[in-house]
Amino acid sequence: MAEYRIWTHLARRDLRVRYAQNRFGPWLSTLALVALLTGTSIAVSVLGGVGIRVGLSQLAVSLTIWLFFSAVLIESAEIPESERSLMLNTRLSLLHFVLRVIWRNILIGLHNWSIVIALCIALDHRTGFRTLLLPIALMISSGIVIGPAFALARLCFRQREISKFVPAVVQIAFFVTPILWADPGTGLGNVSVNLNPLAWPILVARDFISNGQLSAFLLASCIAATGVSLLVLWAAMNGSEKDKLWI
Amino acid sequence: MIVLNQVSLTRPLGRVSTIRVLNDVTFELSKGDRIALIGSNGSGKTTLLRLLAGIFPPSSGTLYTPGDIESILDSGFGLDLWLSGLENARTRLTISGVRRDQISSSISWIRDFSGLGEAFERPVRTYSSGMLARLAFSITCLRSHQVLLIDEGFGTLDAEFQARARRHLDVILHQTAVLVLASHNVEMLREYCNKGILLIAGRVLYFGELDAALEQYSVLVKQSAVDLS
Repeated sequence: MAEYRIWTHLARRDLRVRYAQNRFGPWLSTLALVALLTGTSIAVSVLGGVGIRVGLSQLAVSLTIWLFFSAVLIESAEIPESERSLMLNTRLSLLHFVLRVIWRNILIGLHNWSIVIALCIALDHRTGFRTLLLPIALMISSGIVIGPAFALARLCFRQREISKFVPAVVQIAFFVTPILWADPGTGLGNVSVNLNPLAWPILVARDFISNGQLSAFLLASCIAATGVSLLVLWAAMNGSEKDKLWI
Repeated sequence: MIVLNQVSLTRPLGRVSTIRVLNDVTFELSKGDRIALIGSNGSGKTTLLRLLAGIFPPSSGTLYTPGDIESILDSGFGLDLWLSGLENARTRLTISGVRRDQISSSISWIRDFSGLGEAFERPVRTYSSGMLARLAFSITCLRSHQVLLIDEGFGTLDAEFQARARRHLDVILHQTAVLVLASHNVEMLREYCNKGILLIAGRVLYFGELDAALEQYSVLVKQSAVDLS
């Protein structure tokens, strides 16, 4: 963490490179959210027979956090291949690269936040200020995902093929996470919510932004999940300096 | 300054198989040592340099190195091909721990010294290998370090820049405690080095006077040529 200048610099640089070919820069990433939001809300509206504006702001919040989770997991799995050259030429550790991925996606999430703010203001003025919780939810999500992302990156040094399966697993996780649906309170849906830490920050942010309710239980669950994630990180860091030998 | 005591390095090849790249390497380098790292391809020179640079950890044995080490280990140099020379320089300076307020002046120096001109603002993917080497050398040799590690010398640099690079290297080497130069260019090794390490199949076959190391290597090369014929 003391070398924050390095990974924050690398993350900012990544955004410049990724969006260098267009005039919008990193704001282009918000178009992905807009497209996803439009497509999903139309599908939900047609299939569910509800108005297209219903739950649009909640969906935007959920997708912003979900895009963060999915990008961090997929990109962490790709670190052994994508960062090969820098790893073989510098003393940067794997943690630098994982923190870079997380910071990069926080920055993208903050750009997407503007869409959430715009939607909340357009649909319901009262929810506008509550969107301030979204950056906090992204920080909480970082805590929840850092341990698994680091462990996944380590695994992918040894089993390179795993990185090819991660997007498919993330895709499945999308459907068992309450993004397109609400917690039914009972049955399999409820079990899926209770056992899925990725769902917790989404529900915390969504409930607060749409209803102004902050669930103490879910918040405590997020803190507990962050604690477990940091334990996983601490355990996975042991011997991680030898991972470069697999490159 | 640098101490290696029975250092071995094993690299995994697959789930169960491994290859021992360095085997019981033991030597001690002191201030003023200019080491020529000699050996045929695949003898472990680059791996040894990566070990000294702190990029690879030893599998066994003990290794002591000072903190201030800079290295040019391969032509890619960890550069991002989609970024400009300027952006790459900024990144490498940040990674090297150069203070924020010194980065602008350092970048100006790199731009001038590399002689890349307007190409400095162009993406690195448009550079020739010689231009990449210019950029890498200029970033690495911006200032003196306690230890400087160079792999394959200045092979792809043109004559004009090579002369400039050598003049600059002469200056910074006065403040560099240890230089380790891996190369097959005997002339360059004789110019910069005072000691030699002969590395064969991951083992140090000889460590001592440069002439003796070069002589042993040339005997080995002739021997293997005879064996092959």
